[in-house]
This record gives sequence, structure tokens and C-alpha cells, in this order.
Amino acid sequence: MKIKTRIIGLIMIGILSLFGASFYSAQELNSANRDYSAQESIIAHSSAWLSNMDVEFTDSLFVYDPLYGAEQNLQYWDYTSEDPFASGHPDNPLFEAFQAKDGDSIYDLLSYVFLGPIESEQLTFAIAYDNRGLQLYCESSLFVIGVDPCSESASPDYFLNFGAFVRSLEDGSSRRIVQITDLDEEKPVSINDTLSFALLDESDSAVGIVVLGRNITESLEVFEENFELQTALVVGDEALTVGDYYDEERSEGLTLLIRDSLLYANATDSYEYSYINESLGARISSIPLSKSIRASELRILLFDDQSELLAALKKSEQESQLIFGGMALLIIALIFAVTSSSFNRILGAITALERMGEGDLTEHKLRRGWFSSKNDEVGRLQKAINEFRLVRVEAEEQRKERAKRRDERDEIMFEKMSALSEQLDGEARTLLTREIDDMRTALSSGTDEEKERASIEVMSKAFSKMSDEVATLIDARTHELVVAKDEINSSIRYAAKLQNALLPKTYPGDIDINVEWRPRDLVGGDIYFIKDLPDKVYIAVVDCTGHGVPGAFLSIIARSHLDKAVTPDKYQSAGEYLSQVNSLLKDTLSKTDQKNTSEEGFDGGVCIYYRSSRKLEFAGAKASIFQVQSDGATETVGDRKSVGSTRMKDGFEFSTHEINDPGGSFVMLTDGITDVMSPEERPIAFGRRRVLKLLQQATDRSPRYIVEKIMNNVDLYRGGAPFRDDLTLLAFSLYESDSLENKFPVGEEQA
Amino acid sequence: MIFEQTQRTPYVELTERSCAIRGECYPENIAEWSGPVLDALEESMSLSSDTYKVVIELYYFNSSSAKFLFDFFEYLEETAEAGREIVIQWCYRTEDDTMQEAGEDFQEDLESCSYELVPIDVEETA
Repeated sequence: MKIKTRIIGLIMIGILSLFGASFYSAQELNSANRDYSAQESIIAHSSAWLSNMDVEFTDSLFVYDPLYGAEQNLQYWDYTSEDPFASGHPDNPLFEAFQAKDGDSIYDLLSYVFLGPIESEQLTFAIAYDNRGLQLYCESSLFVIGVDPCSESASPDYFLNFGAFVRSLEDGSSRRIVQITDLDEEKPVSINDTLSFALLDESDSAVGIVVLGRNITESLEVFEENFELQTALVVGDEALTVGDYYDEERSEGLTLLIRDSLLYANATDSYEYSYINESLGARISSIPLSKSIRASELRILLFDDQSELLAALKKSEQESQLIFGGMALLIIALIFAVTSSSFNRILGAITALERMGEGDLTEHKLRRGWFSSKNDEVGRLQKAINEFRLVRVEAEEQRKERAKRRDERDEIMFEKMSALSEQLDGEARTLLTREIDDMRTALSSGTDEEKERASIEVMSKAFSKMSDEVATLIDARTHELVVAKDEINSSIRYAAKLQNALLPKTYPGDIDINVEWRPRDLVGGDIYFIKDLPDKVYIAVVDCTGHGVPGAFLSIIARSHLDKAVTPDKYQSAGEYLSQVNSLLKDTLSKTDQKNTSEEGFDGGVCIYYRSSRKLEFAGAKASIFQVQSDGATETVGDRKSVGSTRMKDGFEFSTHEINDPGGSFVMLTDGITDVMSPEERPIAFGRRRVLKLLQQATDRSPRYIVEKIMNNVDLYRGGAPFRDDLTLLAFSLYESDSLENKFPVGEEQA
Repeated sequence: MIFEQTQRTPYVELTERSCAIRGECYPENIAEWSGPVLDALEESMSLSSDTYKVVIELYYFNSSSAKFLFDFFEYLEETAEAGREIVIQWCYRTEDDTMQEAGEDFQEDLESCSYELVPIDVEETA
């Protein structure tokens, strides 16, 4: 069952319950209304009836009361009054007549009093008895109803116990309802309101009884007319209507009412009641006939036509039901409209969601009903759905963008893979091409998600494939590089071997030489040269421009020129020698490089030791020679020109420095030593001054010690800083010629 | 124009009125580095005819770089001969005899330029 149907069903049930409750309460109200009306009827009618009775009694009967009656009547019943009847007797003749039981006199006397009132229907009847119950007078109205009290068959109820009746009267007059039944049972019993009193003589004993009565039927008739109701008398179990007295046919309605009333009395076992019989359209009340009589004995039924009231009640009930029904229908209609409208909107929302689920993201115009607003629950639901839709639209756009990017990415991947495959040969290429085709197939079908997954899978596969291939290629290339590097390294190592081979391995016997030769790389531009001739020895330490392999090349050229410039048989000063090397080198270099722009050449110093004269000559190209002796160290500075330099005037000759006393040790070095830099950010070179200071402080002046000391200091000075250049440090000392055998250097001996 | 310092090349700053060189100079191939520097020097000097001031503070240069310095000073000398007023300051640390000597060497070839050897106290620079 739909929620809508359920809601409306529940509301219907609720309204029906309300309707039932209202109906019930209306019924209760009506019933209370009727009860109230009935109770009111008892009170109103009782008081009306009884007061009417009282008025009638007072006006008609009580005026004859011997004690309290009308003034003019009192005399009749007083035995002391003087001839109240104007009969000519001095005493009250009535007493005499009663004592004498003189019927005629009594008749005359009483007729004098009562005939008029009877004829005027003030009284219905007047009866007089002697104290034994003998009827001495009886006069009744011509219009008597029911049994005539004066007829032979009439039997008043007080005859049932006349003695008691008489005795009761001796105390005073008495009012009572007297029923007179017809012994012949021809006429209905007559009900009378009566005043009875006794005629008391001087001894206060009753000489006669007078009973005055008024048939209440007449009163009843008047009452009926005044109050527009029907009545009935109930004597014991028998009901009498006014009509009965006139021998009229009792109407069917009245018969039914009477029967209903009697049944009601039997059923409720009560005699004073009032209720409304709806089917008969009447209010039925039962009240006692008089104050002095029990209702069970004698009561009056009052039938009050209530059809109008009932009709009004009915009408109001129907109207209220009608209004209620109308309201209920209206409410149901409204609720139906609201729920229908809401549920239609909800249905619309559901449809929109379902369509979204199917992938339709176009805007679904959501309906707005009459009783709805943007901010109610459904409005918010619709708003949320629309927002959700927008999010989905955005997500969809992103998805498309992703798919586009993925396709591009895949395309790039395939491109790279293809490029890779082209680098491969044979079976590897076929395999990779086939794999690329497989990947393309995997990516060409399926849903977006499957594609995405496939793309990632393919990508990782491709990546690993490519990395494998690339690794293989790199391995191959690396191998090639390693091979090349090994080749180069071995070439350089070989070159180093060659360069090493060019360095002097044997030193002259009369010179103690110690060398530290340290190319920055495996090979370098530094070289030292020793040429031992019979009468002289050449020692050179040179630093060719550049280092590494180019430096090494130049060093070989330089070495060959150092060698070539030597004149074994002829004196040659150190300056001449260096100048010769210079010109040879210049020739060579200008032949190979016309411009010689790169300033190839070398710095360095040469020494020539002439054995016979024990003379040492020095020439320097931007180089010095240090002499260490016991009294300190000195530096001899060479020319400030480089060998091979183009910045040299033609005909420039290197100067020769003669050292006449070649004692102690000599030190030659390349600027690799002096240019060792301190490790600071703004470094300072080790410098010649520091070298000189070290040499001056030297305690041991042996070449070995000097070299060690300088190298130690250089290494300390350098700290972690790299070498900027190749370096060469050569120290030598000359043995004394006469102590050659001892092989002690001069300085050592002196020390 | 500025050439940043590297391990083997000095910092060079060129303007239309000045040139500053500071650091060490021993590149593998001096021509590769010196070519652009000399071109830039020529260009920046051509922008003005005011006095051109050159400040050099080197800690080390190898023999190949000496060639560059020769070329550099040669160009300055030529420009000075042509009438441009040029002032050169060769700065060296008082301790650094190597650089002091180098500065003295270069001085010998320069006549038209105003050349000044400027010793720097090591304490000051530290």
C-alpha cells in the first residue's frame, strides 16, 4: 500500500472516530436535554396542577369551612347562630333537623345554602349524613360526570370506614380526594376534591356530616386546555381519560400513550416520573393527583406533545452531523490535496533520482504544488537532489576530463613503447609489438571504470616493460661507457707510465737528489730533467702550460727540447741554454700552431753544474732557486718571462745566475708548490716567501729532509683543499769532490 | 653584467664605469670562459666614456689564466692609449707574495693606464 493511501486512510479513520464521538456526545446532549425537559415538566406541571387544585378548592369548597370559611357561611354551621336560614326559628334549625333526622327540613335548609353554587357549578355535589352515615341530603350538579354521587349505585370511598371518617372530622374539617364508584359499573368512577366537616353541637359531638365535592375532571379539562396536553387519571391500575366520562372513543394515540406510560411505570416500579417517548413524539409525565394522596393510588398522566422539540432536536442533530460531515470532507479533501501534491513532488524527486541513476543528468523540472514552498521538506529534498545532480554533472565532467587525459596518457605511452620497440631487434621487438597490440585491445572496450583499471594495469605493465627495456639499454650503454672509460683510463695509465719512463731514474753519483713529483691527475705538465755529462750536469724543473694529458704532451715536447739544447762538448751558460730551449720550443709551436694564441710553453728553472770548476749556474723562467746553508736560505730569482712566450722581445736572452759557492742544498720547485691554496673561502697561496722561511728554519739540510718538510707543510697548509696544479719539488746537494767516496753532502758535513 | 663565481672561475662584475674581478681562476679551458668575459668587457666599456675603474683581487690563477689576464690588460692598455681614462687597482693580501709578484709583472706592460698595487691587511679582510 502506498504511504499516501495509508496516510489518507489513517486520517479517514481518525475523522470517523471524531465523527462517532461527536455523534455520541450529541446524542448524550439530546438525551440530557430530554431528561431536563422531562424533569422540568414534572416540576412545572405538578406545581401548576396542584396550585390550580388549591385555588379551585379554596374558591369553591373552602369557603364553606366551619372555622376558616367565608364569613357569611360560618353561621350556617354554628349551632348558636340565630336563624341563619331565615326560617323563622330562633336557634340554628339545621342542628335540630339533624337531631330529628328531618330529611325535608335538611333538604330545605341545605338547598338554601348549596343549590345556587351547585347550579353555578361551583360545587359538583353536596351530601349530608347523620353521624351514622345515613344520607340526609344529596344534591348534585346537572352536568355531573361519571357516576352521580346522589344515585343509588354511587359508593364514595369513605364509606369503607365511615366511623373513622366521622371521628376524623370531629377534630376539624378535612380535605380529601374522594372516589365515587358506580356499583352498577355503568359509569366510570368519579374523582372529586372534597371538603368534609362535621356539624358539632354544644357537646362537640357530631350531629351530622357534610361532604362538599368538586369533580376534578372539569379542572383536568381546563388544565388540558391551558397547557395543551392530554391527560389521563390512573386509579390503581386503571386509567381514565376525560373522554371516558363523556363516553367518547379513546383516540389511538392516547391509548398508545397510556399503555406506554403504564408499561413504563411497571418497568420502573415508580409512579412519579417523566420521560419522552420519541416514537410517539410525546413527553409522558406522571404526577400524584394531590399532595395528600399517594401516586400509586391516584395519579395523573400528562401527555405533552414534544414532536416539535424532538423535531428541532433531530434537526439540530442532523445539521450538526451534516456540518461535521462537510467539515470532515473538506479536511480530507485538503489533506488529500496536500499529500497528493507532496507525494507527487516526492514522486517527481524519485523519478529524477531514478533518471540520474540511469545516467540522465539533464535538469528534471521538479513540480511545485499549491500547498508547497521552497523551504518545506520536499522543497529541500528537491533542492538537495538538484545539488546532487549538479555534483554528479561536475563529477561526470571530471570523469570525461579524466578519460580524455587517460586516453592522451595511453597514447603517449603507446608512442613511447613503439619508439622503444623500434630500438629493439628481432624477437624482443616482435614480442613488444604484440604486447602493445594486446594493451590497445584491453583499453578499447569496457566501461569507464574498467578502462581506468585497465589503463592503470597497462600503464604499470608498460612501465615495468619499459623500465626493463630501458634498464637493458642502459646496461648496454653503461657497458659501452665502462669499456670506453676503461680504455681511456688504461690509455692514461699507459701515458703515465710513459711519462714516468721519461723521468730520470738514475742520478749522478756526486749529487744527492730528492724529488717529489706529483701530477694533479695521472699525468701532468710538470717534468724534471737531469742530463749527466762527464764534465757537467743539467738539472731542470719545468712546469708546462696546462696539466693532465695536454700538459703531458707539452712536457714531452719540452723534455725533448731540453735534451736537444744541451751542448755536450761546448761551454754553455745556463741563460744561453734556457734561451736555446726557448727558441726551439717557439719554433716547434709556431710550426704546429701559427697563431700560438694559447701561450703554450713552460715556466721553470735550469741549473748547470760544472764539475771541474765546481760552479753552478742557474737560469729561470718565472722560477727561482733556493740555496740552503747553515747561515740561512737565499733565493735566486730568475727572469719574469715564460719559455715559449710570445710576449718576449726578439733577441731576449735569459740571464745566467752564477753560484760560486755551491754549498748546502738547493731547492727548485714548480708553482704547484707555491700555489697550494689554504682551505678558506678567500684562500692565500702557500707562496715563495713561506718556502723560504721554511728553508731558513731547516735544521737538517739534507735534500730528503727538505723535501719531506716542505711537503708536510704544504699538505698541512692545504688542509682539505684540492691541488690546483701539478707540483714538483726537487732538492739536491753537491758532494765535495774530494770526499766523493764518502758521499756526504757539503751542508751535512758542515752541520 | 655579472659572471658568478665557480670553484675554478672568479666572480666578475661589469658596468659601464667599472669592472671587478674577485676569486681564483684555473678553468680547464680558459678560452671557453674568457671569451664571453672579454666580449662583455668590450661592450660595457663602449657604453660610456667616463673614467673606467678596474679592481682585481685574485687569490690564484694558473698559467693558462695568465694569458687571459695579459689579453685583458692589453685591451685596457689599447683603450687607454685611445684616450679613455682607466684606473686599475691590483689588490693582494699582504701575506700573498705570489699575487703581489703577479701584480708587479702585469704592471711592467702597462703605461697608459693608471695602475696601482693595493695591499690588503689580512686582518681586515678576515
